[in-house]
Amino acid sequence: MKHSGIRFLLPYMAPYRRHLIVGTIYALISAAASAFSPALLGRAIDDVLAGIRADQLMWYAVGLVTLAATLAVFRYLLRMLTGQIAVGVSYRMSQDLFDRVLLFDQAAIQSYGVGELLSRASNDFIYIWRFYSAGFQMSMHALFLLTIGTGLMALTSPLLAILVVVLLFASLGAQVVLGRVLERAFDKVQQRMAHLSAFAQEHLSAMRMLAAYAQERPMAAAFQRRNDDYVRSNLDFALRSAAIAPLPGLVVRLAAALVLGVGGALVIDGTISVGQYVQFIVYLGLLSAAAQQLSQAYERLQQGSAAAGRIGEVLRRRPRIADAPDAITQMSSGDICFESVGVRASGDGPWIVRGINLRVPASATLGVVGATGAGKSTLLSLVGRVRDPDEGRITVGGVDIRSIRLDTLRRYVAYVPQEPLLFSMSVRDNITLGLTRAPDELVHRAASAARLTNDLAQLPQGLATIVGERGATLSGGQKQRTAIARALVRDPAILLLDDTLSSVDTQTAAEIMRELAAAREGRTVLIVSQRMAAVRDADQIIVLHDGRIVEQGDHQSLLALNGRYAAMYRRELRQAEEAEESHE
Amino acid sequence: MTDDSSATRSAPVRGQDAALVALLVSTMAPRWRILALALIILLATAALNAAPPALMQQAIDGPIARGDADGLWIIAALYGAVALAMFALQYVYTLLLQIAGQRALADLRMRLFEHITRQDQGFFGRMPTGDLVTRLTSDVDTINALLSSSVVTILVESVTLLVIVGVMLVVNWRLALLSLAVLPVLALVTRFFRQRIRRSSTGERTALARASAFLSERIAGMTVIQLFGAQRASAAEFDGYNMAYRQALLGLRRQSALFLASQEILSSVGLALVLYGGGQGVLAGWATLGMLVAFVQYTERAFQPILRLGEQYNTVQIALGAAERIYAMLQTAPAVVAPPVPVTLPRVRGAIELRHVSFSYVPEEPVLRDVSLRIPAGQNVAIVGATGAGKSSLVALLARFYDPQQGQVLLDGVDIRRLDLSALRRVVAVVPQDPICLSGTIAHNIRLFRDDISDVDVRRAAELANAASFIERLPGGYEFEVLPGGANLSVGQRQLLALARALALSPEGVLALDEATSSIDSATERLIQQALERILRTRTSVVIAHRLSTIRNADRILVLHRGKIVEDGDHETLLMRGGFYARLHRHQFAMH
Repeated sequence: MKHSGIRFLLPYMAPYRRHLIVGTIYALISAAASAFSPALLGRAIDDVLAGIRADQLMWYAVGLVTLAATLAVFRYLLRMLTGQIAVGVSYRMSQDLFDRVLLFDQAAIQSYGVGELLSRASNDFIYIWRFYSAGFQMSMHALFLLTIGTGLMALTSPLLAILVVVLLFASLGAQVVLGRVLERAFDKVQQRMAHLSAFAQEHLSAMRMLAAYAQERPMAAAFQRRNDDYVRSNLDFALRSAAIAPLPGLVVRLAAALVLGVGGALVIDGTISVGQYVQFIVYLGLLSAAAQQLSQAYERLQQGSAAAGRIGEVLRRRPRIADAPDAITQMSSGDICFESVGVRASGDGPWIVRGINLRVPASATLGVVGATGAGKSTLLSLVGRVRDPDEGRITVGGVDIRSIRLDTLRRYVAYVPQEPLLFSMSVRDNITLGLTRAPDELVHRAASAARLTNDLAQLPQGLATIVGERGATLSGGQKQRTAIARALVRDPAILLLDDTLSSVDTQTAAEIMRELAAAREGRTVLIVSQRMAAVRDADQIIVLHDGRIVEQGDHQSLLALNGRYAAMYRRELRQAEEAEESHE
Repeated sequence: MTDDSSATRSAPVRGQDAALVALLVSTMAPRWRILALALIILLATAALNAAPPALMQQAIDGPIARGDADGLWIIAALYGAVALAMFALQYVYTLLLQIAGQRALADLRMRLFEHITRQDQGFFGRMPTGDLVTRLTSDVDTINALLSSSVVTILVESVTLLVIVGVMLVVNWRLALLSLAVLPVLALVTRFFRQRIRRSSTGERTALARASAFLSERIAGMTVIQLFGAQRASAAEFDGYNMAYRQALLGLRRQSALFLASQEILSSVGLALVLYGGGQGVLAGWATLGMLVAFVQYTERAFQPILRLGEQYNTVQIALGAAERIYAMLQTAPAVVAPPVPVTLPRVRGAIELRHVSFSYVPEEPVLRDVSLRIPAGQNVAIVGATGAGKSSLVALLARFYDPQQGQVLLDGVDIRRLDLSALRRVVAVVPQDPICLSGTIAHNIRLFRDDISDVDVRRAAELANAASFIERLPGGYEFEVLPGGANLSVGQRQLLALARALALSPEGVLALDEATSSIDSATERLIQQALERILRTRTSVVIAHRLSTIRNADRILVLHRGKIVEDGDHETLLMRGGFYARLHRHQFAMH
């Protein structure tokens, strides 16, 4: 495990320097209170042997309770103090993490995966919390307790003190070493569990197909094998842990046997008193608990620092798509030009599109068609700078869009992605996403242009209806139209539609297209579509094939060309009964 | 996110709990001998917990008081021996319990998996796969934790408490009463804090779930957030969730810190009572010094069971919740079951008949209404109709994914409910619209788990399905590893593979195919069409058709409308009739 995580934590701890000092004092007081109580008990016993008066004995009892109360109060204070540090640090850190992710481009998010980022933003903070709340608190208390306790024992009998300390550290060492062995066995358990779970997930979700071919029985046999593997690894872990986990306890008990003998002999010698003897025996229990806490704390600190390392790695990551220091905040309308644009799938992967040269005049409409995977969406995403080209550049009004501030560009360009991403908030908030003030009138106009008005009437609370997670309570068409309304409400100069009408029925799609055309005065529109019908009215249509523009022109001229476009158009006519079906 | 099963579990119903206990007992029963042995050893080990303080008492009152060094070493050796014995015994009972428990749970998991795979398709429609996987994995593991940890802790700690209290009362009842005086108070305090901690922890988990749900949605939709400039608003919103969660966490910590503090004080009060009372006893002569020292340790040891028993409450509740869910799932009887004594078809011809079939997924919403239909062996039938007309349901009934509420489906004149399910599905191949791929080799995707299908047969099926050419171009050919969901294959390739699978697993009989609507490249499309034409020549087929070419090539076209067959005939006949089909056919061209 790496310790490098600590350096990410240090800056977050700076505001808590005073907390740390006060916490150290609390830990010192509570540990001292805890360490002095066996000594007090020992003194009491010696006094009893010496024939103390009953009312004096009372004071010992009161003393014990007072020490315990001091311990309780200061440990409570220490626990709450470390809790505050933990809460403060993880609050600040998770806020920073989210702020950082807000800057991440798509490539950065995809390089982690949503699940991984989520795990760093939630699970890893559990370890950060434990780092302070348990790790820090326990290690301070335990360290002071061990030091003071050992000192007090050494004052009484150096020989016994050395014996106790050596045995304790032997047990602690054994615990750490054997803990590693267990960790490896546990990794195996988790790995087998992951296999089992993945198998169940994959096959149960394909159950219809598997049942269709009567695969239940042989599949169960395959599941049984994974089940056996899992159980075997689990059993292996359980048996190791059954042998290892109680070992520290065994060492302490054996140490107690030794102290019982050696200490007893010292009492018989007259070197120590019976009270001191009892004191040692009580110490053994107290200090072994402290040693165990120390090993737990060590684990927590390690896990916390590893988690901090994972979080810090995200915090340090710089997205590739970011504002240049001298980015401009002005944008004027003008032609969109693609100049020798090329995009790779990844680092040095194959080219998705390449050699794209294209001019879209201001206020014109461009249609982009082509087979799945031809690079249509990639091309469109470049204009919103969801990603940047690997070669060439894109200019608007002659200015490279990379030299424009991102928020300026994105106020100017509205991009409606293929998947209509809605968030679990009201329909209105989904439409006005990112706008601070949007008058109702504008929202209604956008909703009407996106043909959403009728749907709103059917929703329980109209615009105020909260949609489920990812818009789950809306139909596919409603989601897409909400996403379109979201783009239209901003009245963008450039509108990018990435196959946005695929879940909308043909007639409504046509209405929306007409609406867009009517409101288009001065707006440049780029439409990617699987359906030729959606682009046939565009001023210009390009056909992408294997990442290159293979045909270009308007609907009529492309039909006349009798190439790919014409073939796709004819096929669409042939397949129209599908559309007919969804009409019903 | 694991939701708080303890909180959501409804108040226990007695009958239900009895059923749960029955489930657990039936799971463990076959291994009762091992379990009984483990239990005896476990009880003996717990009883030994009382020994160390007793030995200490002996040492102080005996050899040390007498100055007898030899006697002292005997006691010290005995003390060490007890420690070793406890360690060994604990290992043995853990070993026994684990062997019995793990095997029993593997059996339970297997029983559950087989039960799930026997369910009808309606079940899979209702139950999200994630839930099923949770039942099989974490729910079963939770029961494991209950048996291997909670039950053991409860037994060990209860026995320890009983034995210690017993020993204390026997050794010195006055001291015993003094040291035990705090225990009822401790029990009350524990109860008080447990409730508050439970409430706080529910609040903490809810806050965490909210924050995580928010993050998951926003991270997944980050592009949209950025494109529409909603970063600042999102950060502010996250701040709310983040703060609420941290506050909840701190609230929970306050409760547990207060609980720990009260434990520390109460335990010292117990100790002080023993010291004060015991000291007086020593002075007055009704107690010995050894007793006093032993009771200091007994008091501490007696505290542990009460604290640890309280801790088990949550674990037990969670485990019972898991057991309840597993039990409920095992109680779900599949709607489609094979007959106890199935009829066997010697050789399938492939004649299909539907007699007055009515079917609905939800009562009062019929999908098929009184459909009667006879398809002679070898006929190729295309079904057309609007979405929701009942096309897929009709095909699903042929493979007995569901049973109709009324009427019968017959294959070669035999009601399919009288045939063995597996046998039926071997002769009625259903190729779904969305071709499914499993992770594993191409060959595995064709033969699935049927190892009796040879490589030669796999290849033959692939060739017949026109899939061989693309497979042979893949690195490794038939050994090419397909990623989950077929992510490294194109849609068209997946369709070819699904077709090859149907031919390999069901080389004769009826082929029921739901033609894909998704657009695939024209070359692959031609391959599929060619393969289909070749295959259908020799088999009875029912194709839910979306392509005009498929419809034209069919011997017979059925038009389904709102669960009824409204037209039946070949392409020319239906066109001439000028009905629904003709309209459908005309309309698509009129549109453009």
